[in-house]
Order: sequence, then structure tokens, then C-alpha cells
Amino acid sequence: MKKQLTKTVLIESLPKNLCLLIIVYLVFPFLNAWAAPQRIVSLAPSVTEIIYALGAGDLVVGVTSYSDYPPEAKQKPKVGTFLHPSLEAIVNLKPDLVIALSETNPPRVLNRLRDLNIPLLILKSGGLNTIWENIITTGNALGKGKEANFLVARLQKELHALTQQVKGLPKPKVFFQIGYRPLVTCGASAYHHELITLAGGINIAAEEKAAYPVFSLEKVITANPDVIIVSTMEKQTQAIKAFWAKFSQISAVRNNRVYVVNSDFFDRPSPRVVEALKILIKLLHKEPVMGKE
Amino acid sequence: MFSKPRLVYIGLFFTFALVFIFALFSGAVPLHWPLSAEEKFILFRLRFPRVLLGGMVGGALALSGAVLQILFINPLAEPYILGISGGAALGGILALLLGINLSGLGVTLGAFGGALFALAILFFIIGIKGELDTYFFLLAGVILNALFTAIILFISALVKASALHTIYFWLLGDLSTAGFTEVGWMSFFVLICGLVCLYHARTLDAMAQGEVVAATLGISVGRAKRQLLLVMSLLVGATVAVSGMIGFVGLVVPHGIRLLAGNQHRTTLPLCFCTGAGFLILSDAIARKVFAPLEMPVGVITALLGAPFFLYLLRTYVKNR
Repeated sequence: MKKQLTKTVLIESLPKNLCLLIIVYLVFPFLNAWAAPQRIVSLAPSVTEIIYALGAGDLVVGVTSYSDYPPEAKQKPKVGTFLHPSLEAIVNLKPDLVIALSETNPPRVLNRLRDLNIPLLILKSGGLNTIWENIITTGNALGKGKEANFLVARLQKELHALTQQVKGLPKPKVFFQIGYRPLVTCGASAYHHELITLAGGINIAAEEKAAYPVFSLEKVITANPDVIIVSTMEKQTQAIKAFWAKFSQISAVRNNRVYVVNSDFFDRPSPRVVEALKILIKLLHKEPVMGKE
Repeated sequence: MFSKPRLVYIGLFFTFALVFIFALFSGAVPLHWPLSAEEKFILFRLRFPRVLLGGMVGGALALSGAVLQILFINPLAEPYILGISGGAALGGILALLLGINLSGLGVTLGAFGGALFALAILFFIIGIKGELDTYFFLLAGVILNALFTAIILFISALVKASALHTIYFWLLGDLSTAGFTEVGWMSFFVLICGLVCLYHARTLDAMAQGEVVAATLGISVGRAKRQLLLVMSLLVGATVAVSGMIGFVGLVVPHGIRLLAGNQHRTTLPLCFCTGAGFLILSDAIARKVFAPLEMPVGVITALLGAPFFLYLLRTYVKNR
């Protein structure tokens, strides 16, 4: 009896529901399109890379200087550096979303953007998980949630596949140096640390609490790393090699395993971390060879 | 027909108006008539408060330079060179890092405390009376500045990387994020401090002749001096809190004004304020225009303009000894 009643009610109200359903299905895609931002300003090179990786590069109307990947991004109007962007230039691009990176863009600038009611999305800084989280957040904000999930799944799969290659290989001790002077390295909370671990290396600065602490040269010598990787601009290669050459008691120096890598791969928490891991694996697991890298 | 100061007044007023308008129409984005919605936004909500704050800060710095030069009986005194700005920056950063808010005034009060502390140290070193040799005096200031900068950098080494941006702002001086809130507070402090300075204009005139002369004129210097020092700390503190450390404005401007308009402080102080305002507004217009859209901290521009002038003054001073 009761069952029947429910059934009747359902059937009676069906046309109404159907209408509603149809309306929702018809209107929702448009709603989505209205809601999704169409003019995005990116305030960091890594943010630009994430937006492009999601296939939303067309929506980017402004980027910071040094946003050079993918190459198309270089053509976009510039709004100044990530440290000191020009608010005027940002406003002039009529963005309906500005995407920034915490701990990279100065809080002063971000607060001001918020005061001016400019729609602002602030991505986080942190480990690899934060990068995935940032991709998903960006995807959702751009109406590309599905693409973001696919991208993250793909990247994680690629990372996993890469780590399979290094299973069982000996684990070299690594000193990862960021920039030339001072000796800045990566602590356990930085995604660089995770990359080193995934690449089958041991980060000698793993016990550091800060993400990017200044490390003492004495500690490097004591820890005696097998490999030293310096992430910096290529112009400084000679100077860096000359610097480390003075410390032949370090195994990495003795065996000619001081490598300078392009910092673009290593200072941008973007989908290109996969490339970064590839580079690390190559450098950590090859026989000590005399020659250039 | 016109007296010399009045001519200077009129001339400076027109120059100031020109600078103000020029600054409003100079920036990373060129404005086209009629203004679009974005251009209006840029003009009224970004540039206008920025120019106003620049004027306020520049005026305050020039005013404090003029007064400090009398208080210390030294033509080269200036808040930046004497390390008072450095003390204010340290106080502001400490207040910021310790999370002292006090409804938005925490940083300003911290900076005020820091400036007061710096002034106290300066007086402790040179003695409250002393007409000290310029070189010792400058040396004391420079070293004090170095000390405060070192402490700021020491703190920056302890805190995480994101706080570095904040320290960068404090050390270089920057107006790029100026809003109406800052303009409001700054005009409040400028008004109070400016009025106190004007109130003491006569005393300053007398003090410029030396404290002995002032005493013979029957003017008690002590109280005025204490009040002016307090006001200077407040002015420098408020300035540094909204704009970071901007140097040399307080040096260049009072010298120019004294050459043009003489030594009557009732006339020179307002002139100093206006000229300082114009100078910083112009410097900031340069800062946001030359490498647009790259922003240059305005402190860099004033130092580039002011430091050579300082050296020139020092040279004349040495020659005339």
C-alpha cells in the first residue's frame, strides 16, 4: 500500500522532475562556462606551467618575467617579476582570476590584490603532494577538474614507473645545492627531498627542519656525499666546479660527480617534476665517468 | 613686489602640481582618454593612493631631515643615514613577526619604538649637549644603521624563506602596494607631527644659532628638544611602517630649500614638506615607469639620486673646514 503510494507520487511528479532535469542539463554547461575564469594572470613560472599542462594556456592573459615554459608562454604580456609584480599591469589585463604561489609571491602584494577585490587563487608550497593538490585546485578553478585528475594520475604513474627503474640499485648520498652562494639545500619538507628519495638517493640534509636551509660546508665535507647536484643558471657552471674542486676529500669531487643542472627543472613545483626526476635518476645511477655533464 | 620666499612658494607650488599630475599619468600602463573601466581603476585605486602616500612619506622624510639637522646641529643629519630608519624597520619587523597587531597599528608602534630606541642610542653616544665633530657623529649613525641592518638580516636567516620578501620590502623601501588605509594613517601622523614642528618653528630658528644663543633669547630648549625628538620618532616610525626604509630624501630637500628660502623655519618647514613630497612622488613615478612592468623599489631610486648629492655635500664640508 505504502509502496504503491510512493510509486504514484513519483510517477505523478515525473514530468516536473524531468523538466527540472532537462533544465539542469541544458543550463549547467553554460553555467559552468560562465563561472569558469576566462582571463587568467599567473604570478609564477610554475603556475604558468600548471595552467598550460591543464590545456588552459589560451586563457592566460599575463605572466611574470621568466615564465618561459612552454615556449608559447613567452609571448604572453608580462606583469613584472614574481617578487615585485606591477599591480597596474595586472589590473590592466582585466583578469577574472589571478593565480599566485604562497611563499613565492610577497604577502604584501597578495593582500593588496585581495583588498582590491581581484579574484585570487593562492597555491601552496610544499612537497610533491602539494604539487598534485595545486594541479587539482587550479583545475577545479578553471572548470577543468577532470583534466586535472587525469594529469595528476598520469604524472603519479610516470613517477612510479621511474622509481621502479631504480629499485635495488645502490643508494648514493646526495648533496643537493640550490643556487651558487650561499650553500642552500633542501630539507625533508621540500619536494626536492622527495625527488632525491624517489630517484634512489639519500639526501644528506634530510634532518634539516626548514624546507630550504643554508647548509654548512663543514657538514657537507663530514657527510661526504657521493654526488653533488647544483641547480642553478648555466652561466655559473665554471665557478661552481672550481669551487668544489678545492675539496677533493669529498667523494663526489674525487670521482668527478659534481653536476650542474638547469634550475628551471628544479625550482618550479610544476608537472615538470617528472623531468626533474628523470634527470636525477640519470645522474645518481651512472658509473663515475670522466667527462662533462 | 614679491619677496624671495613668496616667489619660491609660488614656483614650488606650480612645480609640485605639475609633478603630481605627471605622476598620476605615468606608470606601467599608459592611460588613454576616455578612460576605460580598468584605467579608471588603475588611476583612482592604484596610482592615486600611491602618489598620495608617496607625497606624505616624502614630505615626512624631508621634514624630519630638516628638524634633525637642527636638533643635532649637523648639516648631514637624516633619518636614514643616522640609523633611525633602521631602528624603525627593526621595530616594525619584530612587531610583524611577533604578530603584534593592535588593530593594524602594531607595526607602526613597533617602528615608532625602534626609532625612539635608535635616537636614544645616538644621544647616549654623542651626549645630550655635545656639538660633536661631524665625522664622529656620522660614524655613529652609519654604524648604528649597519647594526640594525645586521640584526634584520640575522632575523631573516632564522625565519622561513617567505618572510624574506617582507625583509626585502623593509630594507629597500617600496610604495608599490600603497592603499588608502596607509594614506589615512599616514596623513593622521603627518598632521600631528607637522603641527608640533610648526609650533616649535621659532625655537628651531633660535636653536639653529646654537643653544647658547637660544638661551640668551629666553627660549628653553630642553622641553622643545624632547618633544621634537618624540615627534621625529613617531614620524620616522610611521613612514617606515608604510613604506620601508627610504633614504636621502631628508638630506637633499632641506639643503635645497635652505639655499632657496633661507632659515626661517616657519617658511622652510612647509616648503621642505612640499618639496620632499614632490621629490618622492617623482622618484616613485620613475620607479614604476623606467623598466615597466618591472617595478623598482623607490628606495633604490632615491639612493641613486641622493647618495651622490651626499658625497658632494661632504666634499664641500671638508673643503670649508
